Amino acid sequence: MLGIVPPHLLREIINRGDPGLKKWAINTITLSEQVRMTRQTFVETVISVSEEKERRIYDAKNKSTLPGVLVRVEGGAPVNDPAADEAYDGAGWTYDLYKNVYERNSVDDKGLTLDSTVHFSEKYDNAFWNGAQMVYGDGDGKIFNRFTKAIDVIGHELTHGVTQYTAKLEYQDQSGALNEHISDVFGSIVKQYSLKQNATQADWLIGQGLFTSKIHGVALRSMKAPGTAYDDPLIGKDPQPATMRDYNNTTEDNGGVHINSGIPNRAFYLIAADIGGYSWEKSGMIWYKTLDLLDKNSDFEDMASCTLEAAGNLFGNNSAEQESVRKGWNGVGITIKK
Amino acid sequence: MCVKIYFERTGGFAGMRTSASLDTDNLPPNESEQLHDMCNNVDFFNLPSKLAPMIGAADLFRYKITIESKNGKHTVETTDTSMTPELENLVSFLSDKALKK
Repeated sequence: MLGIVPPHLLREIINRGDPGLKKWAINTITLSEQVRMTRQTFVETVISVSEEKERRIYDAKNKSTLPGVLVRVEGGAPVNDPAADEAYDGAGWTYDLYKNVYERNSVDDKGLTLDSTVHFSEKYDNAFWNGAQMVYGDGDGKIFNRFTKAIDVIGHELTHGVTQYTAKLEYQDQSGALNEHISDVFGSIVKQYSLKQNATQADWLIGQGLFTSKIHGVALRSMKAPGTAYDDPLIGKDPQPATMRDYNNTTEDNGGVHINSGIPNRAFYLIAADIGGYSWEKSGMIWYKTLDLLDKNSDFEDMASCTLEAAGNLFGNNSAEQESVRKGWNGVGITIKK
Repeated sequence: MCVKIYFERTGGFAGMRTSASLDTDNLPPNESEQLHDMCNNVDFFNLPSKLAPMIGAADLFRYKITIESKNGKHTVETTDTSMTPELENLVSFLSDKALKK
């Protein structure tokens, strides 16, 4: 039976079938997924292909075994669990942005099913991409709320998947900070796209609403003003630099990948604000096209040159857009040498 | 037997650092015993020094655990998705200590 019933049919059964059939279909879809995941460690090319949006939400039930129990599939009704429903909706907005604006069919451009696990581990203050799916913690309730609360976090995690299939930026030092930066860019763009906000209206915050009311902070990061997102006696101050002058040469956090990303983040904000309009249109397109020009060891200067090249390809050399790109990088202390 | 443990958690989506330094001589006896058991169960001194996650993974917590005893000193670096359940128990105990500091 395994692998014979196509996933879309199993999904229909889960959505419409009687309880017995429903249970069988859920087990089958979960089992085939587990088999697929096992195979994937040997053959990277085994994937479930779809021309449409395919989402699956799992509940880890506060354990750390992935993916957990399947609770919602594509087209299924809300399940009355904010974490599961936010993960579903956020993955939907992210899929739609990539599909409608950048003509990309899911993270691999081949329709990979978007799998998310919520309620991972206990009081887990984090969200991550494990190389194949998104994973969200509930937060400890003292410092952090649940991580699905901010839609940009969801866009951020899925974009790690996009980077994995495109630029493959190594998760260390500057290439790692660029990997983080690209996730922040498209995470913020997903939020702006869902709210129909232009570059002036957008808050440019990453993780707004994740802190509990006890913490002095508006978000985890600010792309507009890196280093100002929080300042609190318990957790300290936002350590992000906004320019190369304050670049942090650390060995922690894979060489400060979540810290130095503040520099390219601020450059993107300056460029999006200067170009104006909806950031997913021109500035987002420049960044999306840049993914194909980078390689796994690209650094900040390479990123700046590649965005200039992408802007030239899209809007012409010496275009106003290309000038905005050059000025934006200058604004964070990076001069493009060409 | 006195055992010194240094624990550090960096990375994660928020990129915040937490750490803890423990000396089993300064812990309540039940906790000290619990810690000894956890270290033995995980066979800490024979673990590889780096346990890497899947390719493409991002935003994982990075855990660095150093244990010093009369048997020597050993450091293990691991992530949320590269641990055995036994190592997970130890990391979760140490994470609690770091957060309650």
